[in-house]
Amino acid sequence: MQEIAHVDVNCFYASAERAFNPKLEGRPVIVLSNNDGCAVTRSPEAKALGIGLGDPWFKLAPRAKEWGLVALSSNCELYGDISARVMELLGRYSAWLEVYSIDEALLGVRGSPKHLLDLGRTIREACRRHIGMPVRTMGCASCFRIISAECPKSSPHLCGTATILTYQRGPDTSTGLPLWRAER
Amino acid sequence: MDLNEHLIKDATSTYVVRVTGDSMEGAGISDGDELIVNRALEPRDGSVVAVLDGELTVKRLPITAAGVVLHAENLQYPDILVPALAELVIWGVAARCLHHV
Repeated sequence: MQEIAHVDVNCFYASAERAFNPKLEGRPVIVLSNNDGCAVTRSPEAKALGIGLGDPWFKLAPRAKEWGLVALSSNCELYGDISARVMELLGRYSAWLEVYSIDEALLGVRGSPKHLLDLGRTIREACRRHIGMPVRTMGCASCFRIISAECPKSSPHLCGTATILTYQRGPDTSTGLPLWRAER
Repeated sequence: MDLNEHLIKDATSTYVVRVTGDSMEGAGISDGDELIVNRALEPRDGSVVAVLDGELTVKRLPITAAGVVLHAENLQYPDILVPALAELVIWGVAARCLHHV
């Protein structure tokens, strides 16, 4: 059965900056929107400080020094270049690739759950090594609606791992959606 | 002649890195030169690599029985011995040097 895999890059803009500036590793990093208006990407360390998506820079600036926060103006040329590299690399693993956003793609894949899990790990390792980008989660399902509803994007224990969602049984009574079980 | 085609074998994994400092003078890599670094290449004995050591540095990588050496091609810089390749974060392998003559 053809399945759709969802691949995205973990805090893409911050990761792209880190790929070229290793000193940013382990530090809270945010990337600001046009004209340095507000935080559009937060590294996990910045999220842990309670910085929200879209928080305006003028509110964060007074505490930046105390936090050791690195705030960067967006470098869209860099992000576009890295995105193109990630998409080209992902395209090596599937003949059907849909670029969904600057840091997300959908891939048509086939195989047993174990095969798909291995494929997810291979893709994650290739992105890390060849481009220096951490791919966050990879969920597979038979349609994208299920992926977007069920992919455990926000569950921290699955971050950075390949995730395969396999059909368990019957619909979930609360949502009416098929129930999917996450396998590590 | 298309220099992109000649110099870059895997555009997705290739980056151009500008060198600062004289630690690789002996390998013909001078301050201000650009290196074509391919992250897809496996580092081998004697490769010139961009390696993370707090910051990105360029070193020769002799792999010996005693371990892996980060070797500068300049006598003023001492060798750094690392027990195993796995302990290094190799950022990429330098494939070419664009030297200013």
